[in-house]
Amino acid sequence: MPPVYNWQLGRQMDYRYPNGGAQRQFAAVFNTNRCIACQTCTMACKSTWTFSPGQELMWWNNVETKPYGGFPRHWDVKILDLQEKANPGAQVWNATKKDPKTAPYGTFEGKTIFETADGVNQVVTGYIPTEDEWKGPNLHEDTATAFSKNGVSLPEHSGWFFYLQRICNHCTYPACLAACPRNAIYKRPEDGIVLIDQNRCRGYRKCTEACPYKKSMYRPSTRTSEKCIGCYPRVEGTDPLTEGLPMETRCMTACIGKIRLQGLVQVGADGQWLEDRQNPLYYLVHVAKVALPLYPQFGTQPNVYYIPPRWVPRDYLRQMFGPGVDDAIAAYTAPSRETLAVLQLFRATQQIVFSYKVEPGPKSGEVKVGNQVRELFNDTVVGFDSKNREIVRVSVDEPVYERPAKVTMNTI
Amino acid sequence: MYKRLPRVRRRWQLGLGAAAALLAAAGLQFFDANPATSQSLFLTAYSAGSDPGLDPADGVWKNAVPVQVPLTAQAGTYAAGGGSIPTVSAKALHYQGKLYVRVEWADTTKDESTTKVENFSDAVAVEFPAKSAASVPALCMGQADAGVNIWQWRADSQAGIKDPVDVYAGALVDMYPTKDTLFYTARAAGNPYANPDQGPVQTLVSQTFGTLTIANVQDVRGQGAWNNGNWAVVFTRSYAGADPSQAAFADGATTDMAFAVWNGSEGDRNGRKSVSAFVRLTISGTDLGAGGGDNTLAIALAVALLGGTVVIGAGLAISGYREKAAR
Amino acid sequence: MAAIPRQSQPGAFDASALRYVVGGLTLAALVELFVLRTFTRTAIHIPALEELAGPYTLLAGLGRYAYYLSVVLLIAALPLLALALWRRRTLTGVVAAVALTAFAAIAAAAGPGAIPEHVADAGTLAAVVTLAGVAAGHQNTRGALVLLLFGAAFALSAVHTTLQAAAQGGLGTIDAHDLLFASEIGGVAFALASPLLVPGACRRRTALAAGAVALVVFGSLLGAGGPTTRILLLWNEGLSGTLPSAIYALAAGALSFTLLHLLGTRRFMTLLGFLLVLAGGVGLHNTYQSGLVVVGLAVLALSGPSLSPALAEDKSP
Repeated sequence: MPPVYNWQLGRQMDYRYPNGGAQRQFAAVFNTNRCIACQTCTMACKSTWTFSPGQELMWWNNVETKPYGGFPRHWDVKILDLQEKANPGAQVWNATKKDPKTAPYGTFEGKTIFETADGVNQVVTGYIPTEDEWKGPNLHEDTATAFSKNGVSLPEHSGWFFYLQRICNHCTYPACLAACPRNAIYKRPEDGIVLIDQNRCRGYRKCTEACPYKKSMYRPSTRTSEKCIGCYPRVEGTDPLTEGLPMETRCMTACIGKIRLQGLVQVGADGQWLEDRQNPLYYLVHVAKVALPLYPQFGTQPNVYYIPPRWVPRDYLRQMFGPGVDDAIAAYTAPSRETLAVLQLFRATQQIVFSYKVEPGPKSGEVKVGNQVRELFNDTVVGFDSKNREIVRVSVDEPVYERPAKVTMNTI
Repeated sequence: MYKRLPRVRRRWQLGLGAAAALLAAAGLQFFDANPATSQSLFLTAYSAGSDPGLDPADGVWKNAVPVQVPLTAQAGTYAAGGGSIPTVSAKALHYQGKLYVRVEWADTTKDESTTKVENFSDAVAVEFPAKSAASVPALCMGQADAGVNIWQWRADSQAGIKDPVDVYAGALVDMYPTKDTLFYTARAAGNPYANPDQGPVQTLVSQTFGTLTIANVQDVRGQGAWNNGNWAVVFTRSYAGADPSQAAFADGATTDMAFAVWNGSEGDRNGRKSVSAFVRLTISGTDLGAGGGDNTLAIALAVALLGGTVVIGAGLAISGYREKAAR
Repeated sequence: MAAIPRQSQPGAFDASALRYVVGGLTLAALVELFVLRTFTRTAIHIPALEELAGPYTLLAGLGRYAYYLSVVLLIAALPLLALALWRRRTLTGVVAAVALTAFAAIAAAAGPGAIPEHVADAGTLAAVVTLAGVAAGHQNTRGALVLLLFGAAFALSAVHTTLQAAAQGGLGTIDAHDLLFASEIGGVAFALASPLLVPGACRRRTALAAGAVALVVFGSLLGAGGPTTRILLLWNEGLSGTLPSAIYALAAGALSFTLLHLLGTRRFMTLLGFLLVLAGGVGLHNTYQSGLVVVGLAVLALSGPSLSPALAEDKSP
């Protein structure tokens, strides 16, 4: 197997293919702190892509309640268990072997799902969730770990749960692609979206078995597997609404909690992100380091990044998002002026924001975070499209409108 | 005594001998003249008196002589495993320019539903070299310069593709906005495997691993039946396929063929299967006799062969031992 | 493989032509076995083979050439061996020479289909059994056991094939696939017993070490690359690999020990005969592989610790 570089793990790892040479990569940041699990994203996806016979149990986008929920049931616990059994006690990070560019979270010293597999019966360690496990996609909704009689307080709540929003991660090193003996799965160089060729698929379910996030799903009415297609017609810009310009996916744009921001980042030949300081995703992931990959230790280099929930016990979060959790929560709890500005871009437009700039504004107030008093500034963030034209402009302070006491029209 | 044997006394003699051998080998390779003959298992397709049809239980098969082909687990750098079916019993006939192959094997579970994601189908395939290949080497799945032609029968395809609501009696769905074929994505993409009209047999071509592709022309028909722990499946196709790149047959011709069986309840699919080495298929012009039932001759032959083996081997060993002792 | 044995007097260049033919044949057959029968059958599993098409084609061509060279030397070895056995002027020598000649005739006739397949199969079976018997008779008792086990394994599998061929030829059917299982056991027993061929077994440390290494390597091949190893076992050696993996690993260890021991004690002719038998494998595959077995057994018959061995070992152990 050719070695590839996985920057999320801070090391080289084995993968079945050399780097595929994607030039741009579909990526997104989800802010778990803001999600209310309304499932609008889920239904936006469902009503767009998976409404037909055979797709009843198929939810390319789902929102599950952690720690108990999971679609399919207990998917993450099961993979973690398989990995732990394959490499007992050694699935550990070395958080001191760090490099700001090549190993921002430290170095993972355990084994990835590619490295624990025997290479014969499986190229990727995994399992096929049974039909039962795909039923009840939102089981354990809103179930907390404990009832906190005296209430809860930060930094860690005594009884807790949070919502985890999941789509296909369009991984840089997709496990589904590596596992497919038919070469029916491919990763597009222009946007890194991973697709299953519905003409070549013969329903072996090797991808269903291999994908650690379980986002490749079997469809009995065609006996092939299907997966999230990253709404590629929208990302390509073929939706008439944006007149040829790339547009965010259905699940992103439908988000009423404004937790999601999706875009395309530039990728080098080695699979690492190229420096693109003014891309909002690059800024959040690589500069502010406020958003982290989901289960990076699986080794697929997933491309959906999460701002971790502030109130959840840190050991649980470290297992889920890696050792970057403490820094990410610190960066989110007391955001810099730039971070605060960039967070305003979430759901400000349907178009993909390729770059931004911050126009400084006046001081607008103070807020106490912990024991520190922080100043707030009414900066303005401006977003630009792929042709560097301004498409959105938002200020940190939400505009307030006062309604006159007496109105004659449109009264409720 | 042994000094009277031919000897090499000069270096040039050795050089000449070596050169002659190397040249002779090059000549054989150049003219592709293989002096060796296959002695592996073979199957003869006799001419059937009536059309065997697709029913594996058709009476005409009773007189056809089976060959027992041992299977082993499939090779592969990945996606391997299988090996749960030890042998298949194969028969072949031909009738009016059509080749019929009947494969039977023991499988206690009848796996024909693939509605659940965790369920896999029983299946069987026969493989022919796209152009007749020598027995050395016999390659699996073909290679760039020697493709193979595969006929695969699948139990789930024979049972038919069903929507889950038709499988689960109590299933309740509010509504489907449409049931248009366009939204059965694989079917709309032209994937024959997702097409309910395809029938249980698919014709595939392959050059090497991962290149297995559905053939342009689907002209092989087949049918299977499961009875008391046994699958029996019949394949048939005209000697000349509609596509010239596929295997062709003729009266009197010999070709290699191999078998593969998938056991669904063992999770067999793709390379995870039980597979045979190549056996030879000879299409004989002779009519299928009424025989096949009489096995006294066969038993006598078996006894003679085994007995003869023991007598010759042991006898010679002992006499050699005596010669040694006498000296 | 240091295949060409030296004469006892250094400097003299005078040796039986048979030694060279057998040495060259073994070398060519091993290249054919490892390159053509093993490499080209497994190389197609390399994911990026398309990019290595040049070296692959070259190597496959080399393997094919080794095959043809092996065939040529095999054809040359048959009369030389028959002559050597005939000149022994003993009953077994004459019988063995006749068996070699008969095999050559059968192989020649089988090509154009001049004789029915089951007749060719039975003839080959008889030749192999005859030569195994003769070779066994010229070993000591322990060596005889090893060769008889091989003969039994070969015969059981070959009888199965012959019966099926006879059935196709209209001689009635009999379900004899249990013979295959018996053959499997015989073949494994042969490999396990093979150290009995070498006198004073278990004395040489390198051979022991090689045996242990082979055990581990083959064991892990069966464990990790099990299916690949099993199918190669079926195609190259005629064993279907149905017994537990550990047994095959032990068998591989025992075979490696035997080979290294024969090499270490400079019993080259026995080594060559043994290698040829292994390259041929158990059961009927094609006249080429059967020929390797026939020639290997004849070499073993001539090199055994018997009277006036034409291929006497240079150095008695």
